[in-house]
Amino acid sequence: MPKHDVLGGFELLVLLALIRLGDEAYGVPISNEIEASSGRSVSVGSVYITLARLERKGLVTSRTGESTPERGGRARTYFHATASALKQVRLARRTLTRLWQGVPQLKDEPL
Amino acid sequence: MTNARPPRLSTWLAERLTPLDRRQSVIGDLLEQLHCGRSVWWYRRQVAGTILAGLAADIAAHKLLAIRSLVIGWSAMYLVYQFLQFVHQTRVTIFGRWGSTLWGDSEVLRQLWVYYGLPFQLVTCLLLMTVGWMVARLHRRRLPGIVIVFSATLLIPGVLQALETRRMLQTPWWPGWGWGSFRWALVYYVVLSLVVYPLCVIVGGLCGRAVDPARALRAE
Repeated sequence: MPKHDVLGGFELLVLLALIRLGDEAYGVPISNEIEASSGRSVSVGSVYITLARLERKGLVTSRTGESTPERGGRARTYFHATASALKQVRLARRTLTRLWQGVPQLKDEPL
Repeated sequence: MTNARPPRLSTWLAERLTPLDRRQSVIGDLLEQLHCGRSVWWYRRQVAGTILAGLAADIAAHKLLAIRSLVIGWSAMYLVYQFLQFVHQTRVTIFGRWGSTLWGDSEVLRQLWVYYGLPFQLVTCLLLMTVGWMVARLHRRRLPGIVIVFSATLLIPGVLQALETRRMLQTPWWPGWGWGSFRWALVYYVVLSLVVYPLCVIVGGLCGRAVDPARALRAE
């Protein structure tokens, strides 16, 4: 598998958050979703940088949304996971699950 | 909903140093969150995190451009250094003549002129700003990361000078000198090298930023 096809840890988190949020996914809700699930603080900027990388890999598409006065007239950018993204996420889950099963120290730990 | 005003400096930095691709979306998101009740400190932290993440991503993705900027920047620095050496050698005569008419009887002005080399330092700062501007103009698309990496390399001679100054100040030849003007002058030169010179390059680089980000994006 080429190196650029392998999902990084943060890329996987961003993709999962994106898939969970559906069509209303943009920078802040994605970073809030990751913060709520992982408990770690996430900068909105690093989410956008990762989304740009995923877009270059063809795993994400984007569309420009509406601008509001609260945003200083700046438009939102909505993101959507592509079919390849779902395939990549499934692959990552299978790989991680297989690796998990081979670790006796983690066998009885609850998820 | 709150009416918290976005901090000016953070917004100014965000508009210049956040990654160009989604700059408007990032700033819009942060402003929206501030309006929804997030604190000003949250906004500042997010801007800082976004700038740093953008710099790291830019450099990681464009290592050759970063190396090119260092080669160009340090070649320009060599020319600046040669010019400053020439000015330094002649400043006693040229600046001294101008200076003696300026400072008159004022000891403070004389000290600023002779020991602290104020006009010489102003010339140095202007030239460093020019170098920063030049590096930025040659790397408009990846401007923030490139200029900051180049200015960070200026810290290397600064740190070496600071270590040398520390060693000099600890030597026993100065016991009678106390913390007199000579020692302060040494510290002053270290602050110039570690803070003022890299800042001059960054300010010059910001002046050389793309006026129209969309045009810079298309140019790549």
